[in-house]
Amino acid sequence: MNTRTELAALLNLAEDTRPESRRALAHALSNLGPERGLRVGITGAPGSGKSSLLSSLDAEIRRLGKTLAVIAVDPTSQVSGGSLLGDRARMYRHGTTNPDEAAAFIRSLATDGRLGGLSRSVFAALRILNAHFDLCFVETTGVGQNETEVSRVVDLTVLVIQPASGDTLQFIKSGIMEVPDVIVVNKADLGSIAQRAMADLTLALEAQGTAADHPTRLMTSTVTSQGIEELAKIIIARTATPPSESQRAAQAIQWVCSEFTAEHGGHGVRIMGGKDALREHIALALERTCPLDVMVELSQIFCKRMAREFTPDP
Amino acid sequence: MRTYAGHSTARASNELFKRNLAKGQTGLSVAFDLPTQTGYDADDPMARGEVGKVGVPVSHLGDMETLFADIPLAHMNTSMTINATAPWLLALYVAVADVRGLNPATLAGTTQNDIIKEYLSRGTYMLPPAASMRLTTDLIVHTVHHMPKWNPINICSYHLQEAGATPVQELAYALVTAMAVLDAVKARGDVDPATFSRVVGRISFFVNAGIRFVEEMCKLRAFVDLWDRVTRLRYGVADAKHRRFRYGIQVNSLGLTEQQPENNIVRIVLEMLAVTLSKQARARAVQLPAWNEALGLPTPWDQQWSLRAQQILAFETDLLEYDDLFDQNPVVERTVRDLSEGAWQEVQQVLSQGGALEAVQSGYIKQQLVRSNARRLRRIESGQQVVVGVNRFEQSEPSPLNPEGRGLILTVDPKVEQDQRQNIERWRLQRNAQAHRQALEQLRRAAQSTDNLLPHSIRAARSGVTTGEWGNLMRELFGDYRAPTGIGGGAGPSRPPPNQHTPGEATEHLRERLQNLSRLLGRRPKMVVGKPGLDGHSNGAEQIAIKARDVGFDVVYDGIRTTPQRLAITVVEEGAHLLGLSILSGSHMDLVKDVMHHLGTLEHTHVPVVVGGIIPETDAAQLTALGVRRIFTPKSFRLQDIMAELVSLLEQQQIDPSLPPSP
Repeated sequence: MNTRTELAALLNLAEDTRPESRRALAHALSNLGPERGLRVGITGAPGSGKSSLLSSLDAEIRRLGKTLAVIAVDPTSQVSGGSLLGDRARMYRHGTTNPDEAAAFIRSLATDGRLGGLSRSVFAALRILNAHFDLCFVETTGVGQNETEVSRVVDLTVLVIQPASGDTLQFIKSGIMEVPDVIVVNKADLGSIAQRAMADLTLALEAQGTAADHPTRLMTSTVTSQGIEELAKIIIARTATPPSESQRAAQAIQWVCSEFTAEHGGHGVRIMGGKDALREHIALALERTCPLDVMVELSQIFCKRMAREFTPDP
Repeated sequence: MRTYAGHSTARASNELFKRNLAKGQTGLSVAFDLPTQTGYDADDPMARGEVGKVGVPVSHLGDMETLFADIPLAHMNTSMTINATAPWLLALYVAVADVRGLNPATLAGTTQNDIIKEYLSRGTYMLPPAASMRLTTDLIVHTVHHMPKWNPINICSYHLQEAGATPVQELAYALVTAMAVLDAVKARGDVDPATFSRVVGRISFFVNAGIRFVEEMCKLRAFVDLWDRVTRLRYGVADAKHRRFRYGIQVNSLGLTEQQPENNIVRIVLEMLAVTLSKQARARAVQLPAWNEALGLPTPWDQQWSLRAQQILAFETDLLEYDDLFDQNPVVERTVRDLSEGAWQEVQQVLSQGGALEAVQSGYIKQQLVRSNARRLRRIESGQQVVVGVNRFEQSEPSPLNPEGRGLILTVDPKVEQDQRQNIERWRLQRNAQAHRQALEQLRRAAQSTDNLLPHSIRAARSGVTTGEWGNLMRELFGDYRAPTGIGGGAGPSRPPPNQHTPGEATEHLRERLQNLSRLLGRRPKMVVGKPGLDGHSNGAEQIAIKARDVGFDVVYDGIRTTPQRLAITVVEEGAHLLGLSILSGSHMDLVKDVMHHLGTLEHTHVPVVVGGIIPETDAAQLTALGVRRIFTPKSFRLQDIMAELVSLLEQQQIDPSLPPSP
């Protein structure tokens, strides 16, 4: 499939840190075409069954006539720099005898040490895949502050919870209960244990004062297929109201901001004049060029300002 | 006494059986090929390259009749190493007896029927755990009522040791597996207490005996004690006969070496001692591998040598004349106690997680095994664990045994696959279409209800249903399944446990080289590791994946049971710099050809391909001609060296991407 090969080549470029590659990437991104797809973040603790759920969703979403891609993010080893990208293997539930059947395009990426939000290569991959597919999922692991950053860069956030795992409690204590758009209690086939998790969740959300219908809550099971069609339809329904340009712009600003902060820290933000000034600067720059380039430019400005700061007075 | 046998075709296997019986073998142990083990016919795409390789293909009643031609089933004891498709193969066996007018109650033998160890180490599973358990217990309940001389299940700890399990783990996981099965039988609600006690009495085990034969002997004594405890306390079985620990054995094959293979006969004999020395814990059936197991499929002569070892022990020595030699021995008692306590603790751990099925699905047990295996390999690599001829005493005299492999091991005629396809074609044409259709319909309805599937499968066998048709129906109704790999994501350790392993200079050096490569390539080198075809022995691939991560690769571990086409697509989608294939079933020629073909179609032949597995020298040359850049056999046990070679390969490619494959 030519498209698959071309897409993959672009994705390789997106990860490429060499200067000439970055130029080529910027050029490719500007020729990419509009971002027509929906960005869906899906997250949950290890063992919550995200990958199996995605696998079931994959089949259902395609059955309902939409196309999708998945970016599966796994942690980089702090010790060796390498990573084990095992989500892909967990996603093949259905028979592998006909790979030509348009299954989801899957790209596995390592966090490369980044603790929260989306790394540069993930963001670029998202942008690239979303120009070709109706839906692009970003699968990350975690329940907490880090996932808040991701949610500001995607259009829809799905949190997957495993019953009787402490996930629910952790989620409630994390202070990010309003963040997900959809909360899924997975492994509904566990029966009363799963129902209890949903009850706990509902209670906590009500106590928080959240609206009855947001976040959307449902129970799923990849064993019985409970809730899969419903979840797929909820996600697909969102494609009817694609993000506006200003929403996309807000996401881009958000991403550059958090990327810049991850790179250069609070001190870096101060040097750039503070959070608001930084955001204004980014917004202006985004009218000219893509977020990745804006990030590069900002870094250069930052370095120059740092150099000036440390140049001894004449 | 018996040897595990079967290959190529039913007829050839039948002849092998008759020869072995003439040599004094007292039972048959049937090896089936991978498509038969996983419910595929020879003409299914998934069967490509696998037909007749690791065992005999049995696709229908005709094949089964040929397999047992001129063999008196009513006087035979037949052990079938079959798991996911055990109900089907038993149905075929009973159907053959039916046709011959024999009463199924006279049939004696065993179906291995242990699906949990398939999920953990052998990989020939078919359906998700719950559905698999239904089939498992259908078979058990059916035999208890209709085939009292049949052993419906062998709880296997053998494969767990082969996957790296320690003696404590072997004990614990075998016990929790038995408990999961018995709990499932109970939960069916169609077995009364008296019958249940008989079911418990029919449970038998298939255990491993490793080279540390003193500890292994104590492990077996521990099994006896613990099983008594479980059957008495958890299941309230009053009849002491039903609480006996019944087991068969195969001695450790993983430790058999490719280097100086003649040493293996010594290992085999010593391991046999573990299961024969102590009368109280003596094996009921002993299965010995052949000395050249690591080189490929053994010949009849190789199997004979192992059989003779057993016969010499049994008939020439005085061992069997004495009572137990170790009762009340303080050293033995202490060791048994330690093993039992450790095992019981682990049993409680698994039970607290909800039992074996839960612990399999969550990946917990698999992770434990992967970790043990990694530790074992590190100890061998560091020399802490000695393997004679491999990491010590490696110097060898010129061997009078033919080292080149030609004629030394059995190779399977590639025509076998085509012949079997035609065989199935002919079978489909001659069967009664209406009876066939009705039998399948009835089977479908039974599967969707709570009916026992055995009688319906027997009827299906007699109506000409094939293995693939049975398997496809089950998959259609219950779904396909992929077991956790035990590595990656949240499941594996992202760093070795502290105090267990400090990276040596060599690892640090490799990490540096990988960092350099990352700079040159612009991104971190990415390796896809996968197992195409039906071979499910994933331990080697898992350890390679982990080691590759430890030296700094981004590793996409694609798991087992993938197709060449899907692997090629994975290479493309992931932007891989390197593809590693692990194939141990002998199907490497066909599968590698297919992989190369698909890489070509996707214009990705620039990605170097390396292959690990049981590859005879003659095949290695052919694989190289196909474009494979490196080949690793069991001889290359040092993961560090393998990694160094892979890194060198990538470095060479950076210097000159047009380099031809190295010799």
